[in-house]
Amino acid sequence: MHDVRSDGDAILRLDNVNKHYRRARSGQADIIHAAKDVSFELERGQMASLVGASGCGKSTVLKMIAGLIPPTGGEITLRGEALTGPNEHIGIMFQQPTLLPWRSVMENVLLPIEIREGRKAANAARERATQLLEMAGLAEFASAVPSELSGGMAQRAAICRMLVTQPEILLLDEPFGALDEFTREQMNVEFERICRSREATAIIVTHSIQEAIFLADSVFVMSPRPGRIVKRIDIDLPRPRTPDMITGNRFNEYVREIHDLLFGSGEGASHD
Amino acid sequence: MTDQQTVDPEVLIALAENERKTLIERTPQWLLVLLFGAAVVTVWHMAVTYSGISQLVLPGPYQVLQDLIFTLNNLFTGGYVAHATWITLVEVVFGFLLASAIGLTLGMIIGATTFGRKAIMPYVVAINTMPKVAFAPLFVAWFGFGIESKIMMAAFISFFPVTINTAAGLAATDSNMSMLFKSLEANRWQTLIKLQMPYATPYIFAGLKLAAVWSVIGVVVGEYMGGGEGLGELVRVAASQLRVGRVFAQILLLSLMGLSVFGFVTLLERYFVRWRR
Repeated sequence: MHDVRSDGDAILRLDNVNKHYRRARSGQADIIHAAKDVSFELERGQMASLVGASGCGKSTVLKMIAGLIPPTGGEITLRGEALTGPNEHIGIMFQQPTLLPWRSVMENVLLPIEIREGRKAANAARERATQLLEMAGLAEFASAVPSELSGGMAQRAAICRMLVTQPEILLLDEPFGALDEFTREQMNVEFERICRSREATAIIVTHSIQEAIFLADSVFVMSPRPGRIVKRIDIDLPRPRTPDMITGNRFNEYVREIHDLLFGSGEGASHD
Repeated sequence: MTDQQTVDPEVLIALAENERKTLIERTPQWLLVLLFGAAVVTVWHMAVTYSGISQLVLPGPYQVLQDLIFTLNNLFTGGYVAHATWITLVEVVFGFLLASAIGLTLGMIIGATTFGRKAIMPYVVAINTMPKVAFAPLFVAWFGFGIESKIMMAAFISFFPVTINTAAGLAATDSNMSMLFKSLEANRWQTLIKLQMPYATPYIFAGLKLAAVWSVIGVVVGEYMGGGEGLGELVRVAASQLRVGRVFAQILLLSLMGLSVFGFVTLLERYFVRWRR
């Protein structure tokens, strides 16, 4: 068994978190383990990726941390306190930008504040939102509507919306998976820069091995049925990460290691 | 570079398609509409002139035109047609507004609450399967011979599309957006007002447009049954006097009224759903 925990002061901690669904099939109850005994810790400022094939439970783990679905076992704690539902200290972002098409970009970015603290607080936060949009290169699109944005721009607006409440932990579910390859790489570089400048603690779920390595300090490799973490790999690459690293030797060694874990040449990937 | 490469390929395609177009395809639509209309009127005129049909049963185009001119003249000089048109318009507008209010409220209850979906929805569907026009005599008995019974009839006939479309629109909310609102700890009311209702507006307007047209039907049915002073009553009287030309002219006014309400709702839709383009 691999030890996937780290030492030091953890801000987020998952302790043997389980999620199973019951499915009735020909009279017999069939239990699907979407996530089994998932344990890891995240320190403040640490970026982690969950990588694995489709259906390995990585999105399930993220949604449990976000409080969108309850775990069937185990505990998730934020600064030592148990998480039981959605939390203002956690920001989440999906594969689709999910901007409300009837609101301007600015109004979309202010939405989390408007819902949590009301319209007044949202108006008071306009300056902060403007700064975020400037950082994301969207300053001149503040009053545009989402349909006027490209896919990459819309996803940058979604990043601003996630950051506007200054959450302690960022959760990203395949954030750039719907973008084309060029935009995706560009977004990875930008996102890494944004996270570094705010010392963000983040978990990125992805099925791209390169993206997982590029963004993270630690990559958690997951395998399906039951969905569990098979290995934690710490990425020892300097920050800021730059696109030329992707073709470097060290980067490719990590790619090979993760690839072997996922596609089962060697131990660890498939023993069930 | 050769000449061929400098020509925009799309232009070439357009040229090629143009060559293949038939005469009908190249004629502007307004001209075709006029030509077809003229053909129908001619056939109509010939049929009336040479078949020996009585003018009392089917008047010729010229007779109808005269009746139309008379009716419009009466309308614009403030005669009894103007009065009737005004009464009917008031009935249609209030019937439509009532239908919209009932439909939106009921639709929101059905679309946003489990109780509404499970307990109320079956009754709404059951009511819709009834031939609602058959209730007209009852509405006269309940609400009298004044405009109230017509307004109620119009609302009764046209609340259904608003209800169903509102409920369907609320249920159609994008699942990612719902997840976003859940992660932001939005309460039910916030989710309804800030997410579900705006998301449902295109659906709601589709229902409102149907209701606009159906309101006119409801008002006319009400007027046929319960007298009153509206255009429906004029149609009924003219028909009983075998003035078919007048009937045609008054029906034209009714359809123009339906078109106006429909157009007004379309304008509102353009404003409220402008984000959808």
